[in-house]
Amino acid sequence: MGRYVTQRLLLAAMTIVLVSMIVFLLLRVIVPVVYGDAVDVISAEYSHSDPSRAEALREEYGLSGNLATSYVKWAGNILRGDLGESLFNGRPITTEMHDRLPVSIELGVVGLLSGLLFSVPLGVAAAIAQDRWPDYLLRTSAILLNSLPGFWIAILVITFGNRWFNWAPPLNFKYITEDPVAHIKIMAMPALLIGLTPSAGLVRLVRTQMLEVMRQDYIRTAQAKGLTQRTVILRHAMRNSLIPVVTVIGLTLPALIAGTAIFESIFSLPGMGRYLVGSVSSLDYPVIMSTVFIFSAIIVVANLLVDLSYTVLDPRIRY
Amino acid sequence: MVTSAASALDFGPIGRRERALPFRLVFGLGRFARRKPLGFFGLMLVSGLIFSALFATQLAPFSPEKLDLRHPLQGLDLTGTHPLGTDKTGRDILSRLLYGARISLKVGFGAVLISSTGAVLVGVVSGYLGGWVDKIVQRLVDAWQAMPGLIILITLMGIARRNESVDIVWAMVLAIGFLGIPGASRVYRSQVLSIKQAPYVEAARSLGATAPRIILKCMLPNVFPLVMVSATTALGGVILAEASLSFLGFGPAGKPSWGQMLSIDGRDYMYRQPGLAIWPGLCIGTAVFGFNIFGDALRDVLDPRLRGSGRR
Repeated sequence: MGRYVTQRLLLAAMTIVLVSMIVFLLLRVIVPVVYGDAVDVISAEYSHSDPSRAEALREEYGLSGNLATSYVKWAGNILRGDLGESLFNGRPITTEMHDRLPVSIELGVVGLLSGLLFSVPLGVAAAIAQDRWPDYLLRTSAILLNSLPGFWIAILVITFGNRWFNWAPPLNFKYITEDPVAHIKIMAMPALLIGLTPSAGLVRLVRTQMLEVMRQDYIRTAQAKGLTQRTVILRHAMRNSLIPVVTVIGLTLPALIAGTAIFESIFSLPGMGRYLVGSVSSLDYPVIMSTVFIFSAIIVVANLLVDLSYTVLDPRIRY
Repeated sequence: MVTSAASALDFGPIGRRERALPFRLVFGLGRFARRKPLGFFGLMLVSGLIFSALFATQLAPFSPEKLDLRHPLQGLDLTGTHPLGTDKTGRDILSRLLYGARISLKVGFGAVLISSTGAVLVGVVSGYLGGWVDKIVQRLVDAWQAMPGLIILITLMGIARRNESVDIVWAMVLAIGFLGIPGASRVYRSQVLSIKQAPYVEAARSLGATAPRIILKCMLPNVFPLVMVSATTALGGVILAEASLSFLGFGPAGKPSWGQMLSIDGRDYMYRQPGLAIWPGLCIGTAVFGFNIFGDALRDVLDPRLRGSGRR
C-alpha cells in the first residue's frame, strides 16, 4: 500500500516534469517554427524592422538564449512559486491565479457534481429498464447530448431566455465574499451547462457498469435471500457500479477545463480560461506558458487522486 | 521457404462465394441498414454532409460573402429568396452553412488522417517492440494526454492567426491532428499487445517471418478495423473542436464556418433574429451526431474484440 502510493507519487512527479518539458518545447521551439514567432508577428504588425528592438523584445518574451538554460531557469522559477508576470499589464501571474483559479475550480466542481447528480440516477434507471423504451430514450438522448456543442446550448439558453423570459446573464461579476446571492445567480447557469456535456457520457457509463454488476453472483445471492429489489439495487448494485465512474471523472477533466475557457468567455467570468484566451489574443507569452503548464499540472494531480482513491473505494484492490 | 509458409497465413474468408465488389458493397450496405438502423441513419447524415460540402457551389443560392444590405436579419422564409434568412449584413445563412460544411470536413478528414496514421505508427511500434521503447513512449503519451487539448489548440491557433504567412485551415488540421495521436495510439497499442502472443503470430514467428512482415500481415489487418471505428468517432470530436475554436475567434477569419457564425460578436443580433443562433449549431450537432452513431454501429460490426459477444 505504502509502496504503491510512493510509486504513484513518483510517477506523477515524473509526468509533471515531462509535461513542463513538452510545454516548454512546444512554445519555445515548435510554435515559433511552425505557427509563427510572436516577436516576428508583432514586428510585422507594427511594421518596424529594427533588429535590436526585436532582440530586446525576444529577451522580454523569454524567446532568446540557450534552450537548456532557459528551461532550467523557467522550471526553477516555477518551483520557487514564481510564475512570471504579464507583459501586458505587469501583474504577477500568481496574483492573477489567486483571484481567478477559485472561479474556475468552482465552475468545474459544481458543474461536475450537478452532472453526476443528474446522470447517476438516469444511468441506473436505464440499466433497470434495459432494452425497454425508457432505456432507448435515455441512450438516444445521451448520444444526442454528447454531440451537441455545449457553447451552442449556452447560446440558445441566453438567446431564448432573453426572448421568452427576459432573462440575461448578469454582467457584473461578484465574488462570493462580496455578495453571495449575486454570486450564485451569476455562477448557477454556467456551472449547470458545463456539467451537461460530460454527463451524457456518464449516463452511458453508469448504465453499462450497472448492467455488468447486475449479472454478478452476489446480486443473485442478495435476491435469493429475499431482499427487495430496491435494496438490491441501491445497496448492492449501485455502490459497486459507481467505482469506475471515478476514473471517468479524471478523464473528463480536460473537457471540463476546455469548458471553463468557453463558458467563462460566454458568461464573462473572471476565471483562468478567459485569462488564457485573453493572453493568447495579446500574445502574452509568459502568461501563456505558465497557464498551459498549470492546467496540465492540475490534470496530472487530479488523475493521481483518482488512482489513489481506488484503494479507498474498492476494498478488493490491494497493492 | 519462409515466404510461401508465411503467405499461407493470408487466406481470405472461408466458404463464402466472392461476388464482384459493387455487389458486395450494395449487399453489405443493405445488411448494415437492416442490422443497425441507427448507424445507417448516421451514415445517411454523414453522406448528406459530404454531399453538401462537395456541391456547395451548386447548391448555395448565393455566394456566402454576398452582402444584401437592404435585407439584413431576415427570418425563416422557406419559399423566399433567403430560405433560412440573412445575417447582420444580409449574407444568406443557407449559403454560409453549406460552405461551412467544407471547412468542417476539410479539418475533420485532414486531422483524422494525420492522427490515425501517427497513432497506428506509434501504437503498433510501441506495442510490438515492448521493453524500454514501449516504456518511454507510454510515459510520453501519458504526459501528452495530461495536457488539455483545447487549451493547447487555442494557444497554437492564437499565434498562427496573427501570422499572415500561415494558412489557418491547414494550421488547424496539423494542430488537431497531432494532438489526437497519443489518445488513439493507446487503443492500437493494446490491440497489438493482445494479439502479440496469439498462436498465429507465434506460428508466423516460428516460421521465421521478419518483424516488418509480422507487423504488415498479422498486426495491421487486425488494427485496421479499429482504425476505421475510432477514426469515424474521432471525426465528430474534431468537428466539435474546430467549431469551438472558431467560436472563440481562433478559427479561419474571412471564411464561413459554423463555429464562427455562432461567435460572440453576433450575439446582439441573435436576440433579434434567433435563426442566427439556431441553424449553425444544429449543423454542428447533426454532423457530430451522424459521425458518432455511425461510428458506434461500425464498432459493433467491425471491432474484433466485440465480435461474437452479441449485442450490448
